[in-house]
Amino acid sequence: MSALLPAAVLLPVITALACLALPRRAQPISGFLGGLASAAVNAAVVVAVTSHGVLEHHMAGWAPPLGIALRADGLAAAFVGLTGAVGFATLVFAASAEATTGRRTGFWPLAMLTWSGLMGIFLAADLFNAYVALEVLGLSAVGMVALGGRGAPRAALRYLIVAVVGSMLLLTAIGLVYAATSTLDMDLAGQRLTAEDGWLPLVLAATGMGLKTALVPMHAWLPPAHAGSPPAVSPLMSALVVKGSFYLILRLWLDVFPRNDAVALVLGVLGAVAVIWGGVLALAQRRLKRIVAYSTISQVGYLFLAFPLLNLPGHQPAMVSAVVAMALAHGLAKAAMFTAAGALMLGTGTDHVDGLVGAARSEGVLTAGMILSAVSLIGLPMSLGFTAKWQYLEVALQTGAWWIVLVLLTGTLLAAGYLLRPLAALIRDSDTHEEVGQAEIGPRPAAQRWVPLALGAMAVGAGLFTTDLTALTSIGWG
Amino acid sequence: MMQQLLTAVPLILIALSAAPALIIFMLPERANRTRVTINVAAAALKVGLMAAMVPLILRTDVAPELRIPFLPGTDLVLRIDSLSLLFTLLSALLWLVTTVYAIGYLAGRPNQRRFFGFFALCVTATVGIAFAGNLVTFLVFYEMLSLVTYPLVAHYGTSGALAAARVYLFYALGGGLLVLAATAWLTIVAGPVEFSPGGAEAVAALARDHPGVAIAIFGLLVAGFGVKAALFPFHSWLPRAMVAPAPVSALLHAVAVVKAGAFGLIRVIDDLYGVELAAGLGVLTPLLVVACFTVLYGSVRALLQDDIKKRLAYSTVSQVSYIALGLSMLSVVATTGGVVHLVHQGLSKITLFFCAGLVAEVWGIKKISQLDGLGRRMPLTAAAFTAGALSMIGIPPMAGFISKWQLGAGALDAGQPWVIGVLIGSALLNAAYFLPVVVRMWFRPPAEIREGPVENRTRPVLEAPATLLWPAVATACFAIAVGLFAGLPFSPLDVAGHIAERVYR
Repeated sequence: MSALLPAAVLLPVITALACLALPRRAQPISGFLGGLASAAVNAAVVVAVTSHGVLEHHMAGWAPPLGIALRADGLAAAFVGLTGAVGFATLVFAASAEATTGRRTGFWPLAMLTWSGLMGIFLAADLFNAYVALEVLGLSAVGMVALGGRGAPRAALRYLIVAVVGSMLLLTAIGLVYAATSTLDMDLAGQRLTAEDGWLPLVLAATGMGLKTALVPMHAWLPPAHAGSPPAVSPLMSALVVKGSFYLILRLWLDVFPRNDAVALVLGVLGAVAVIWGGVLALAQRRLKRIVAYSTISQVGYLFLAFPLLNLPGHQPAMVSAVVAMALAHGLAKAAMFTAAGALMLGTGTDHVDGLVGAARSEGVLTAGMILSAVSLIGLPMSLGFTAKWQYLEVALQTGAWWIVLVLLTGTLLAAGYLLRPLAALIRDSDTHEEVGQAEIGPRPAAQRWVPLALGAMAVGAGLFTTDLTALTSIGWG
Repeated sequence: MMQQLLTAVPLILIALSAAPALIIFMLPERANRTRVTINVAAAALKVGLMAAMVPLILRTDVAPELRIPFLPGTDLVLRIDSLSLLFTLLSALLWLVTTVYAIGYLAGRPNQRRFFGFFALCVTATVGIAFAGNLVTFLVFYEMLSLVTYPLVAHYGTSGALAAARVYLFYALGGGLLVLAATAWLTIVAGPVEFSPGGAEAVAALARDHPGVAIAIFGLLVAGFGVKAALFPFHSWLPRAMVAPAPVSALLHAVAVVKAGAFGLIRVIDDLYGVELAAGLGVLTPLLVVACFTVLYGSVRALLQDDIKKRLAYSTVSQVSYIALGLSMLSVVATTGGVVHLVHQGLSKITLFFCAGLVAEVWGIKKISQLDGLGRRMPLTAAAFTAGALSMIGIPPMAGFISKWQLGAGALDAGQPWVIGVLIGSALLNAAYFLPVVVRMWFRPPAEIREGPVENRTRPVLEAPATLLWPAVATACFAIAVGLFAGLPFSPLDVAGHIAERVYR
């Protein structure tokens, strides 16, 4: 059973190598098949953790602290599941047409390396492996950003610097933890680390991961990198890659570092600023992919908003469940948004909002997917976005954190504001509106229509399985 | 077996509106005939099913119920009690007539697929609101209603329509957020609470221990529902939303959006807090004052409008507040009046909106000053409008009279005779803005109208296309019938009385 864990990490790597070895024509099919197999393994991990509890695997039979261990508790399993669903859906989208993967070759191996890096982060039981996986994730993501059109090299370079600086900060933090505890095993380090030795590495790690997750005020690199990427890259970047660095700081927060209220408050306040400021910036955008990218900055704010509440004794399990629901909701909905935006862009040649007027008439399925994903991003019932926000509200109200309540409610209205503009353009009609023409949309392959709808429907439908998600998240700790 | 069948009933009734929506979205735009058939068949089937359930639910006290686990500790609950039955029956009936009307109204116009699809979703949300057994479930459908009404208000796609729709959406979502905050707060302090006639136990305990918190939550809920119910000062989206096509305005005012807010107020006051508890907390008097003010304010604003639809819109602001007014008095008679007005106002107001749409479609008339002599041009329309107007004013034996009589008697019963002054004042104002219209239509020579009549809309025998005319006549007849036969069993008044009695245990 525990052999699933190395399989989850290695199968994407093998696929990436296979893609590299094959000629360009054969890459989509081999990448797709490898993605299918990896998604199946991810699903199996979720099922196994749900039914058997925590999975742990010692590589080559060596137990820590000597050997390398992989571990999947409920928290990890939830993110593994998200990666399987979003990753596979994006690969289906990417296989639909060559134009989705950018002008240069390399999408398939890079996407599978990204997948593998994510698995490494989610399943790592020791700090060094987590660091290595983070580097794999960061570098392959930089490569994917570079696949885009004009402006992509600049955005990629910028993102490369962000990725490297973030990793360096984390590496320094890990070094300090090792110096203080003389172990790299997360559990052991967590038991040995004192508050006195813990605060500096915590600050470093939080800064590094905040940078890589685009926490305000370290967010400026994200819109060009996410919005400028090829259609099949943006969903992976926004839905999954930022989750990798967020997961790592969450994991370190819960397992390694001692409680630190000051850092929690700073992260929470920055998260609150991100929710509002990201929303305001998104309101000012006129290009669909930009709107969606700024929305990511806002939504990442919700994730960091959880830290002050995560610190409160007695509320931690509820809050972890809330933040996982929030991350999953964002991942599913954002992938739906970006695949839909990419398909519209390929169909119309533009992603300016005015160029999309009336597109719903011929692209009803895709529009439905966008509406569903908007429902979840805004946080309207009964989507997963709503149940996540509800759990935040419950904890915030119970602990009297009124400012968080206020941020949650304001963020909802802002999200409705910035998502209404593109959606209204899609469903409105051009023949009564002279100044803009009807969008001329080329016929889209079925995959480009149904992938956004499937992801959007999952984001909304998953709300009904919130209790199951809570049960899964609580496995293995707390 | 019987029990399982009963749990399926709420789901079937919701699916009966949701399925047509999905099918309509999947059909191509040109499939007019199929769309019409599906729409009318589903609406008629629903009316039939609902009507069949009336004796079952009222006489045997069966409440079909469906539970789905949703949030930790909170289920989605769909339950059909007598109040949901009253509201769904109204919505099913008006959905049927409005669908027929909309088919005629939109004939030959673009975007029918989008219109009828979202129209059916709108009704689905209304049914969900009616069936919701707790606040969370209510909220699910309440927000859904906000969302699916947006494309209907924005239907014409002009910049005015888009702006009005945006204003509507943000008022509605803002109201929804207040309800969300209140719901979450209440869940934390009182646990998951469900609606039960006369108020929930947990809320009573909360009010005993922390009256301040209970009052604050009540305030948030009333404000949140007040946005959709167009209570002053949250009413200004409503007149702006008049840019929508006539069938949308009709449904919005009579049963969907505005009534969802009013229905929420009923649930909160009667089934969550309970009237007696709310009165004990002292929250009813402020609501009563706001409701009275809105009644008078809406009437005064209506008096100042020359645009027919605008006048009707402000009249709605005023009339819907009668419901809040009835609810906020501690008397079984007043509660009956408030609840029955939900139905009576709906029937009368939808008639008026149908007529406004008719005159605009057939003669291009949009202003009241152009209505002179309409009785000769469109006698049936003018008659239907007159019936609706007289009912609004409260002339016996029309529907409106019954509600106002109940409200007046309730005011005396509750020991607040000053409310009668408000009722009389409002009736005079209603008369002042409706009677001159009626007089114009019947007793003035026909005005010259350069543009009209609109081509292709007049018929050799009838004054207007049948699909537009008959719904208006039908709802006018309903408005008269529910007044005339208010004393019979299963009349809206009888059902409302039954509901009110259960609230005062």
